[in-house]
Amino acid sequence: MRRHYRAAFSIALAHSPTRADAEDVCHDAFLRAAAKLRDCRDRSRFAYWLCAIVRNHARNVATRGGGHRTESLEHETAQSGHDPGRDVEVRDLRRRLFEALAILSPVQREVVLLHDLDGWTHEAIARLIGTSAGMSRQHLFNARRTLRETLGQNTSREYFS
Amino acid sequence: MINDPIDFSPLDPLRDARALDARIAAIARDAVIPRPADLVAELAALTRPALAAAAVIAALAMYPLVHRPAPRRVTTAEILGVPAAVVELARADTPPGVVDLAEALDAEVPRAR
Repeated sequence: MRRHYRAAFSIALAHSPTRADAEDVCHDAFLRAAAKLRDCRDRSRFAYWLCAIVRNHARNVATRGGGHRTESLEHETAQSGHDPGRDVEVRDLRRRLFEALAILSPVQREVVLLHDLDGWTHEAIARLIGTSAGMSRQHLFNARRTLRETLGQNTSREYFS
Repeated sequence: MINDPIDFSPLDPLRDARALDARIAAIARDAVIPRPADLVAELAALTRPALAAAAVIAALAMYPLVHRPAPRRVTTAEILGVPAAVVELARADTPPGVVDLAEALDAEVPRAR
């Protein structure tokens, strides 16, 4: 469960308005997967099977207009554990990332989160979302360009190192 | 620059190990012990089709009892073998003519050749 949680969370986050909603979607989807575990005959495809359940559930919740468990992202805690100043920075970055992600389409969010947060290949992403690897690359390119324009040049990788 | 990955580490759910442990423990707990809402939904899912099937069977079983056709009354004339045409003439307000009576009898009684 721990191994696949980040991928599941990335997919849920792509379809959820808040981080807490994405966590709820993951929770429910994992329970559904546990109840239907016998349906997964090919264990080598377990990650796709699980992520497909998460994706379907997240899209259903989004279609029903569910979620919105928390009032806003600003109130979510970062919890580094020992550095309150860094917590504030991370919280601010989290808010900016959410605002930027909100501009993207759900598919663009799925692709960029699976690729850049969980390290999926374009072939794997394409298999999950039912498109070609070329289209996945195109979605990633467009998503990154939009995110960089929105976030500005100040949000760089060395910021978190 | 455009090909560099976006740093999503602030959104990484594995960033806070303690919170992740709590989430996974909650999922494992709920997977073993279904939440009350889930249990109700599961029972409802089981009982609704069963109730619907029972209702259909009951309705089908009741139909012949409710819509049973009324038994046809047998008249004395039928028991005695009086032709129906003759009975109709007898019930009429006006006395039958000879021709009508002959036709009524002719219709029912085979003529001797």
